[in-house]
Amino acid sequence: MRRSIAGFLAIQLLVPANPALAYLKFGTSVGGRQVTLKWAQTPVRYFVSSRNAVPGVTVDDFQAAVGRAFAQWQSVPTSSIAYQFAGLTSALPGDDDGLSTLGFRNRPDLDRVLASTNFLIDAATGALLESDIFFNSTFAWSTAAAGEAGRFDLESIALHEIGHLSGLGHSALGETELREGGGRRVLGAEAVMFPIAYASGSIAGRTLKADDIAGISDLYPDGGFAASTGSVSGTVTKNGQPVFGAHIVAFDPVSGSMIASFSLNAQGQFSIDGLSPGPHVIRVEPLDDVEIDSFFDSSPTVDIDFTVMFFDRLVVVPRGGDRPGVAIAVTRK
Amino acid sequence: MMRPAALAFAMAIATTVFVRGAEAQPALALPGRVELAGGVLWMGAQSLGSRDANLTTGTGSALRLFSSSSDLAGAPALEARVAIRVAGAIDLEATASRTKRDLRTRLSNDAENALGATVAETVDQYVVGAAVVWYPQSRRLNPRIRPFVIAGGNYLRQLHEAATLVESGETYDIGGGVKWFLATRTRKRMKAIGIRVDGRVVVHNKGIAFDGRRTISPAAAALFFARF
Repeated sequence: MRRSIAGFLAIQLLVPANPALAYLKFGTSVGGRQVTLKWAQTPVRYFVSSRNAVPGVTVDDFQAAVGRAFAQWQSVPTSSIAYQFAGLTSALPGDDDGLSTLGFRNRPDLDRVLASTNFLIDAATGALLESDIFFNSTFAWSTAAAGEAGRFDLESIALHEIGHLSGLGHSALGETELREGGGRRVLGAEAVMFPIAYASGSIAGRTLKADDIAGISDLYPDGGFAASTGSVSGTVTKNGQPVFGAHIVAFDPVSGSMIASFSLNAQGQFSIDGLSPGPHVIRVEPLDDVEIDSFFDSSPTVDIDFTVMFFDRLVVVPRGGDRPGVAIAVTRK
Repeated sequence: MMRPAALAFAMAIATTVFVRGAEAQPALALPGRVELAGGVLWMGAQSLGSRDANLTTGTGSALRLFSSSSDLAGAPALEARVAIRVAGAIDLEATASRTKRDLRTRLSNDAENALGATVAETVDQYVVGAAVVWYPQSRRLNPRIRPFVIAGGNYLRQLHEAATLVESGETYDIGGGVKWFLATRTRKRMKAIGIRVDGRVVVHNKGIAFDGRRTISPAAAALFFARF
């Protein structure tokens, strides 16, 4: 789900028991165990709804824009995910018809929701069967190459929602500020999967970032992803107690890229996968730039009462392996 | 631009000086044909450049989250050299050195006021290579002191902390120094012993190179030597 400003929780996220699973992924309980939601077979076939075109965006414009967004995810060389346009349909997104459909729906009641993704899941295996994306036609949309003032860029929002359709949750790689009228404004983000959209008119969200690429590659690895990248893992504690929900960023001083994850269990353990081999700077921050329910359901207690800090060593990521034991001790604000 | 007449005059002077110099300064033979040397090499700090951790704003510009600048700290190394005389004033050398250096990254300007910090890891560095040493001839110098010029190329191998990752590259160095002969003996197996000091400019290609560019650092060495 992508909101123009922070809103409510609509995505059930997997909080894996095993922190070797990096990134936030959608999950469900199957037979008493948590499984990651993903497509069992690819290419993922999708349809475009021929109904409810909006001013400034024809069905052809819509199909071309979402096609470019799908193509970006598919072009990630270290991921095996693939998509296929299956045709136009008169169905609307949200219909449980076995067709993964993208299209507009008019939802003025969701006045802070630009778009949303939902799933139909095989309850026996947890495999995705259908995933629909609706774009809220309450807002003004554009597919213009350079964007249009006052209109949200459909390709950027589609790129984010297709990340969800593929099984990715939200990334916290971004900074926001509170708006006077409520909600938040994005100052900057370094992940398409950041939960708050850029302002209308912006096309800055059309390009996948290192964090997105690592996430999709972790979910659908291919092209030697595991052998050519590495990971770091460790714990975050405060006064000797584990911290849940700390946001940990690995910065590569060679490329300048950032890939992030969270401490995801009661032991404060974290793992960041998909890192380029070599030295990394580790930075820890509280999850205070977006509503917490954009990342976690309400059951765990996310601790945001600590200061931003750097881990006191450069951490060297091995090729094809893990650098364990990064023990980060944060302090209260 | 030099005119033809002036150029001819300059060449004539230069030729004269060279010929007179050659007449006045016959070659001084170095004692022995083989030299063994070992000692300490100081490797100067090697800048690896700066890079910001940036977020992308809605206009596509960069919003700095924090800044970083990195270097390989200066450190002492153990160096060994084996030389063989191949001409009256020229030695060929095989060289090896080993050191541990700190790879440091300074972090600053955090957008959320994280305290600035310098984070580091220790790099184990091995260098093996070859060099040419040329001894200019001059009778004006103290006969116990022999200046030399050195140039060489080396294979560089750097192991990150706990041997998690290996990086390799090359270094090229050029410099000069002097050898001070403490004792010379013509009828013994060991012909001479002494101390050698030199300074070098080292060009690093690959290895730990954050921005992919060649970097330059200074180095200085002090070694004991023995010639046979």
